Amino acid sequence: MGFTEVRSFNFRNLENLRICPDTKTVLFVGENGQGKTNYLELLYILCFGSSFRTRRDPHFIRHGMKEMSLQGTLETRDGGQWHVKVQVRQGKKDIFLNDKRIIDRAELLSLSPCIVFSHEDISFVNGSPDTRRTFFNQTVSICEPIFIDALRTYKKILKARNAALLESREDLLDIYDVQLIQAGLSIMSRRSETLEEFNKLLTPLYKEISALPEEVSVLYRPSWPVGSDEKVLKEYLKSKREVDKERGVTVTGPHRDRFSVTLGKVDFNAAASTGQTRLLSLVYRVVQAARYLEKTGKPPILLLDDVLLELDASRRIRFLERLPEYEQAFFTFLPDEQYHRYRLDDKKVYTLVNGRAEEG
Amino acid sequence: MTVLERLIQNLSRLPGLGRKSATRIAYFLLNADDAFNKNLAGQIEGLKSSIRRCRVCGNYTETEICGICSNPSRDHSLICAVEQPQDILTIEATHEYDGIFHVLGGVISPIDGVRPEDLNIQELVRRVGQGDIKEVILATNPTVEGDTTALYLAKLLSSSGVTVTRLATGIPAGGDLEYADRTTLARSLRGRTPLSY
Ligand SMILES: [Zn+2]
Repeated sequence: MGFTEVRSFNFRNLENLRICPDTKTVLFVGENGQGKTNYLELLYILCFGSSFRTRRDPHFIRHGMKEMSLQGTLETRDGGQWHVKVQVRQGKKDIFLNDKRIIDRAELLSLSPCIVFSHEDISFVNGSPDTRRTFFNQTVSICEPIFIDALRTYKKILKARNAALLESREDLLDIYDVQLIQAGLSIMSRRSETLEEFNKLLTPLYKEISALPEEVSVLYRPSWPVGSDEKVLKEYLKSKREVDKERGVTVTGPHRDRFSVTLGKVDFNAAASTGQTRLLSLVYRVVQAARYLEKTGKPPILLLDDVLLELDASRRIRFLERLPEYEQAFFTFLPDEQYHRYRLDDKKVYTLVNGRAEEG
Repeated sequence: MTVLERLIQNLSRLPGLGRKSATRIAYFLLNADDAFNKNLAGQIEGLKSSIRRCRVCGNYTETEICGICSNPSRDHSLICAVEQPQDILTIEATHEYDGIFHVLGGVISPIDGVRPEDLNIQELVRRVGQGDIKEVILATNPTVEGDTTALYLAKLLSSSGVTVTRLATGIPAGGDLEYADRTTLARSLRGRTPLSY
């Protein structure tokens, strides 16, 4: 069912809001600058407890105000009804689930994650190694929240190891090497298994939507030698220790893993047009959603921010046809877009004027 | 600031006490009889002078050597290394352990400025080197730092010939799998033991 009610108070430039979407598809239609993206951000925050646009929570608050809150009622397929509340007060964010404060926002993940399609997704294809890792970390985490813990543990060990490097503590580095390898190996195996499944969905989907013959796939290129066991990696880290000490940071490990994209036999980013790159970033999200559905049996909530604009008419239709089954989908459109032509059943349209959403 | 307000402020610095509870306690003391308050004040005042660390294991004690170390009926070939004296209380409460202890005084964490030489580690090595010890149980917490410390000690003691074990971690007894946190569950899966009957 998805969101049946959403309320906001002092959120960005939106007028205090109460909408009851209760349809499978919801369309926010408005000119640029009417805060279309804010509506999707609001839903995203209710799903994850944090934004996809800013890491700093106080930025949610309307200018000049001291606090804000968002509330949503979410109905899940198994008949569950959840009330999620996210508030920022005195610079502190709190998340409540059915009126109980939760400490780890990863708890929200098991409810109903949403998948957001946005312009910035292009950097998952052609951006820095760090940005690309973020996407695949997310792809694993939404299906297996325990991966978040694995990443947190790894990061903690890495930080301690880097501190030991600065002090040239050989005795401690021997220990941190063991811990880093154990934590790192479990991250690598999750990444490589995930990538295999990811490509199985990605290659055919990209072909179908783009109507181009080339095969696209993502290549996982771990920083540590592929296939090494704990013993081999211990020697490997030891051989890199002098370099690590010189730089004052650990230069190898899963925090330096890379993901590259191939188009046929060549590097995708060298060969593809901007249009192809944008399309691939959309297909990334479709695969993320499809994989979530496949793994958990639960259809996700989709948030699509103006993304159809970037596709030509026939690709738009093929793209919409190949969206995986979803619990609920929220689209933003410009007023002159022929959105009524898309086959989107059971829909509600909100027109956005001056930060207000009016039905119809 | 009045005397009462200052008291409330100090009380609310105590662990687990918010301002509300601190205020309640302050008003309770205000209405309590003089003997009670005097007694309590005396106990707080004398705490640090009458309680010290055991010369052998680092536990809190009123005598030079604590009741556990000086108890001849305990198994002195078995040492359990813990982070803090409070951990001894927790383990003692189980009545399952009859060995002796060693308080490390923390865990290795260079980011927080705690290095092995800042902990009571050399003394543990010395105790083990004296020859009567057969097994060292590492009972540091199942955190990154607790693991670091345990691994460090295991390496340090590996040449001593004693058995080194690590406390198993797992699902709390009577606990529901559903409510065990993910990390605990993952850890207990890794550390699973064969079951036979
Ligand atoms: Zn003692």
